[in-house]
Amino acid sequence: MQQFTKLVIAAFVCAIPALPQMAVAQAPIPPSISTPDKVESRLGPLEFKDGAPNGATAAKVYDHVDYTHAYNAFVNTMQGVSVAAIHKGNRR
Amino acid sequence: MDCNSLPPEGVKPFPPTGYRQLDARTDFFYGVTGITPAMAMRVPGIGSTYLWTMVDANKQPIDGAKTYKVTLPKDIPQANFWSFTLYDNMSRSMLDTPQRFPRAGSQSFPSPAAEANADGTTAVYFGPTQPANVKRGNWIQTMPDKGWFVIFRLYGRLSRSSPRPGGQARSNPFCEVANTTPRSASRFEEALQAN
Repeated sequence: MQQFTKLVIAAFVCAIPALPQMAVAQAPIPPSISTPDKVESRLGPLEFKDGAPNGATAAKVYDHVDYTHAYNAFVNTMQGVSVAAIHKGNRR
Repeated sequence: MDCNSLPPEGVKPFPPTGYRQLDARTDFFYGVTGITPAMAMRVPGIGSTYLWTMVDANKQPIDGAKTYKVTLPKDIPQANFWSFTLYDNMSRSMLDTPQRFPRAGSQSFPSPAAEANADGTTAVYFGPTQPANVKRGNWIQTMPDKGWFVIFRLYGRLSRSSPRPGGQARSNPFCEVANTTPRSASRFEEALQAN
């Protein structure tokens, strides 16, 4: 009987963490997947608060993305522009 | 068309947008690793709709220390359920708080369903403490030192012409609330904390 009582108590204690109202220790987030407050980059320092960029950092990164797309547009269309120029030259 | 069946041609994704959304895949993959056709179709009563934001109505990054309020219009257009779920900027996993389930919505599990106001609108609060006179099901706890973003889900989205949160099309409904009075802990919570 005593054994059974212990089992019941153990089952009850195990059930407690399932209560949503209980405060439970929070699991640490691995630093390798998170966003540090400051990142040194080729664009200069990038700053974040709790994973969100500040205005200057967001502007800097958007400029970088725009520049990257502009570069891609240039190198990926230069061939077509060049061939079109040959055609145009031959027509003259 | 029957509101509860797929069209004969099956799922019809949105038309491609070419170079205008070159960054969409990168942005999407920041928080999401999977996708389903149901996310990319508009079949009333069947498809699912997701709205998300990292900024508030003033385009400021959401701050875990602040309290925000969203008021959903009457007759939320869903056939299955609606919900808000909060995610941690650092892990893109659900926000880890003492509340355990960072959600509010029409479902009553694992936390109580959100309750509508007398006029049919539904107000949901997001903040470190439960404001006074706000029901448990209408409050999602946040942590002062944790940035979060939120996804609003409509499962079985109904008419496209339904009212949007915030009223006008494409407006951000996350309004910061100043000086909320914290709700005092219930006897049950006090008893739990004492133990």
